[in-house]
Amino acid sequence: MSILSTSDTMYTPEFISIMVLMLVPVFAAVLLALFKPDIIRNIVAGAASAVIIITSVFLAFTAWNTNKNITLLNADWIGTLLFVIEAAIALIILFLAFKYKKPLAIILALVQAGLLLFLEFSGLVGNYTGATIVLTNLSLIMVLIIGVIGTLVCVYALGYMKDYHEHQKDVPVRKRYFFALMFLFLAAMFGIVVSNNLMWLLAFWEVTTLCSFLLIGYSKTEEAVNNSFRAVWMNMIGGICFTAALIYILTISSDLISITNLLGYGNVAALTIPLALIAVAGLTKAAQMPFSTWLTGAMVAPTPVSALLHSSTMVKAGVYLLVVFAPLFSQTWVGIALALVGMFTFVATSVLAISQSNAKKVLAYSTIANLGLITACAGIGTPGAVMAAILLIIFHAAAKGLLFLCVGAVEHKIGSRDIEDMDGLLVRLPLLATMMVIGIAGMYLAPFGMLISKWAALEAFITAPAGFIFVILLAFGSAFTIFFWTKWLGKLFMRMGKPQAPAVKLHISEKLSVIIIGALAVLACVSFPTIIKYGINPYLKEIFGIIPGAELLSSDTLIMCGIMFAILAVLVIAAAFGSKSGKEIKPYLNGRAVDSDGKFLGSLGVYKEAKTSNYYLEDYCGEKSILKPSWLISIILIAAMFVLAFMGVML
Amino acid sequence: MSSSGKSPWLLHYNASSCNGCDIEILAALTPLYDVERFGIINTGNPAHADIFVVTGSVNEQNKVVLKNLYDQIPEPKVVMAVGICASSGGVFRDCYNVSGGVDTIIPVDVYVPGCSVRPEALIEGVVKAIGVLEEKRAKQEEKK
Amino acid sequence: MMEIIMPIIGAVVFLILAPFLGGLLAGVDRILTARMQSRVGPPILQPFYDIGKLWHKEKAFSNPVEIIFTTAFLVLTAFSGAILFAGNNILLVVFCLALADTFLILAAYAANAPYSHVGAVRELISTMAAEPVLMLLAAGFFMVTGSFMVKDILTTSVPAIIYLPGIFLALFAVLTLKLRKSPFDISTSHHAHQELVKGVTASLSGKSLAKVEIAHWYETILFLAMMFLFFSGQPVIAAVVIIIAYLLEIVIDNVFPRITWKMTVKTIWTITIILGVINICIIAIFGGMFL
Repeated sequence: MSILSTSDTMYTPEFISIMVLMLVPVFAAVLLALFKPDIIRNIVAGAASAVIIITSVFLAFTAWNTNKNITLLNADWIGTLLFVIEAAIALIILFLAFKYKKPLAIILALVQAGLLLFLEFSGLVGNYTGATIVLTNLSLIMVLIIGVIGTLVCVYALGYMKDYHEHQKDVPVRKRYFFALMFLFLAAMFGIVVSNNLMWLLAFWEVTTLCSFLLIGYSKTEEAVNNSFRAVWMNMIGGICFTAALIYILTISSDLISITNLLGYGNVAALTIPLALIAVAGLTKAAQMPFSTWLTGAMVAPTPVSALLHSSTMVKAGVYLLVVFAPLFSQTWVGIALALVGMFTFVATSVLAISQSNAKKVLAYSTIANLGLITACAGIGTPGAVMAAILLIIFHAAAKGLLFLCVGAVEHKIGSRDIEDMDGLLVRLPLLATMMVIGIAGMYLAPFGMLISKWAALEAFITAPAGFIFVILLAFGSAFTIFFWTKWLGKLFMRMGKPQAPAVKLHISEKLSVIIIGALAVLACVSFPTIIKYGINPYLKEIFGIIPGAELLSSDTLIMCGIMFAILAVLVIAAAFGSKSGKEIKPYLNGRAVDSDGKFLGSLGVYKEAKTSNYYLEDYCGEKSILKPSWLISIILIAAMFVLAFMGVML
Repeated sequence: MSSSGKSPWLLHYNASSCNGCDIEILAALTPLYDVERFGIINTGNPAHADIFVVTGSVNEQNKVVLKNLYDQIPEPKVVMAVGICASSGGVFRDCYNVSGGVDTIIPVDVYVPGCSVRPEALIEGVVKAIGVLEEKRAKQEEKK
Repeated sequence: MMEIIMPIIGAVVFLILAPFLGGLLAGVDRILTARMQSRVGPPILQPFYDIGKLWHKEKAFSNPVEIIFTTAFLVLTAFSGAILFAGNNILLVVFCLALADTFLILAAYAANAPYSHVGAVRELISTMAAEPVLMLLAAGFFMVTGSFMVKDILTTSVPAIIYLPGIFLALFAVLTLKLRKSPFDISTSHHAHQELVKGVTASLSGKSLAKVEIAHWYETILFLAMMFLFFSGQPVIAAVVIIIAYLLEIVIDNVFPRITWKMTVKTIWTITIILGVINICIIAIFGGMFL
């Protein structure tokens, strides 16, 4: 008898693919941790990435719409293994917390360890025999996002880390450690999205917490260490809530440990408390208010880490969990409260993004804002809202991954990540700036992805209970979004006197990743009706039994969207090939002489720089004035969620 | 008259004038003279202007500015020297720091003398300038 | 068959007639403003003369992309109107309009000149100020009529104004912005009380400037048509209200010539929050009783 077998008589291609997706990154991580030379690292990482990308595409292709269940037999030892891993994680965090003297992390790690021991030895965990792995379209979409975008980020890191260590001389080179963690992260993410057994999901969840913690602290500077501990304690709160939710669920019935059983459970009123706990777990992972600071603090890490955390992994795990439980949230007031936290986060962080000139910080706040929107959709939980949530996940992963990679590469080329220093980037770094324009346009402009998703969200909100609150908040939040993206976009187009040749060449791995993700972002935007029709609708049909009839998808609207795409395409072609002849007038500076760099002749005969900056509205939108009240409001909302959960009120 | 003549937009620049002519120029915009009747607008921006109205005897400090503003006005364009100082340098003609008249720096099409210039004269000057503008536009069209 | 032809006719009629109507309206506007200041004012066709002149100016630019961006502004603004007149989705109109505005802002950014940069940011702020109202307007129509489609909104039995008076007033407030006359430190109109360098259009000249002007005419007609949507089935009342609204805008413009962009955002958002948001809340909460 083999150590692991499935209920099918033989291993199916889906099962083998999943094993490949889980084991190849782990195996690659081990190799990467062992071998130091760059050449071996490039080969191992490159080969592993190729395998992961091909396998994830293959898995998505074979299991699409099949809703494949895989039940593992003789899998008890995996449960034990995962428990050992969780225990090891708790010990590592404890050890580091003691080493750096972080009392909060110590306490939380102890609580978490205690809960885990209780869960393992209380006998609550029954002998679960249901499906261990369920491949819904949602899981497959996540697999594609992790497998393609996450992997490309790792490829990008190969080139990026070379430059990183040239720029940051005082950071010890620990590339083996870095790449091993990146691949481990991917494996854990695959685990999260395919597991149907919540015990397994929890274990993978903790692995991502550990990996992100270690990656954020990579540079070992004081700031990095502090921020990594902030990330870990906040995520441990989520982990503790998750564990507590599992204990609660298990006291009801040991069968409920599987997601499918939980979704099919009749008495949702009994589940409000664990739902609220799971909501908090999702909120912490997805860096929603008041837990947003861990993600903004994570900016100290090398850019590929930020890209991985923001676009395809970590935070997406949080919203994935919420979206999975959306059908349950939709029946309870807990869901509405959760949605309010998300929606509030959307507005607050969109305002905060206005005040930032650090490109990575803007991206971070925008990530949190979009996750807020996804959270809101998941909390509302109607079929239309879930559709919007999944669309947001897809488009956000592509556009945000692209933007992070661009900002990282640009930072190494121009020596700054400040948006104020990015003027005329389209002339200075044409490829990266073009990709950046695609990313930014994809984030907020019609008829591209995120706007289409927001539209879907708006339609879903209008018909949802108490939806008008969300509609109003969405209207204002979107206005702020327009502001901070457009002023960034504008900077890129500014005229520069003379093109500056980039001093450093872009590494081939960076170029490759950026171009592929850019192409994918465009492709996803253009093909959104297909994604909805063949990707999301079957999932909704499976989960809810109905498909939302969105006006967004009516043929009238689609024709107009198509014409808009056509207009934009013609404009882009005209911009690329159109005549640029004509008289160039120097910028108007009240008639002062202006030289080719845009400097003007001052009254003392010296050329001076005429510098105008964007508006950041610090007084209104700054972190000083917004953060604290936002924490307060979101904490109140979360408290309200728990009150509603204890009362067990249903919609 | 083509549309150019019906919509002459002015750019007004004071090249060290005593402000006398400038006050008269602005007076022409007031309800009494209302130059907007002829589609004339005081733009304040060379990129939008057709007629460059200059007052004052250009000096060393502002001749660069004058030249720059002139260069920033897209063709077809007409330059009007308003007031005796702008036309010839006036009483400041022989000063050590004065160039003496706008035409020492840029080509002038219409001279409107006076110290200070009367709004009536100014409006007539603009009408003359419109004629020149029309000619220049016709020439430009021919070139094409 | 009619279902396919009618929208096309609507869109084409808009695309052809709107600039003429918009230009005439601009001419009337300038005459009325002049009369309010006891002047005679320009001929009614003055806006067309201006465009004619601009069209024959030399091709000059600060940055060649200006040409594409201003074209995009014109084409997309016109297209937003075409969507509306084709009876299509009003939400798409709002989004397309925001996209068009973005191009105008980018055109101003591209010049990299201080005045146009300041103009661009302020224009952006005004776009931001208007956005919530427009989105709430679309949402309000959906709540009342159950559809985002303009053709459905126009065929409801009860005019939307009955349910959405607050939203209508908020739209009126936004119209002040969208006519680009107030606040004086962003606007691009030809009145003497405007900021002199004209912010967002500062670096545009010749045809580029002409395109912005024509786009503005399209925009004016588009916004007045949005007002019309509130009065389905009552064209006469609608026409009267729209004329009054437009006249009021001219009065407001002349009475408050020194409104700054900060004051504008504050006022518009106060109005939006008080009137628009409360309006939405009321129909959402008591909707069952009315509808």
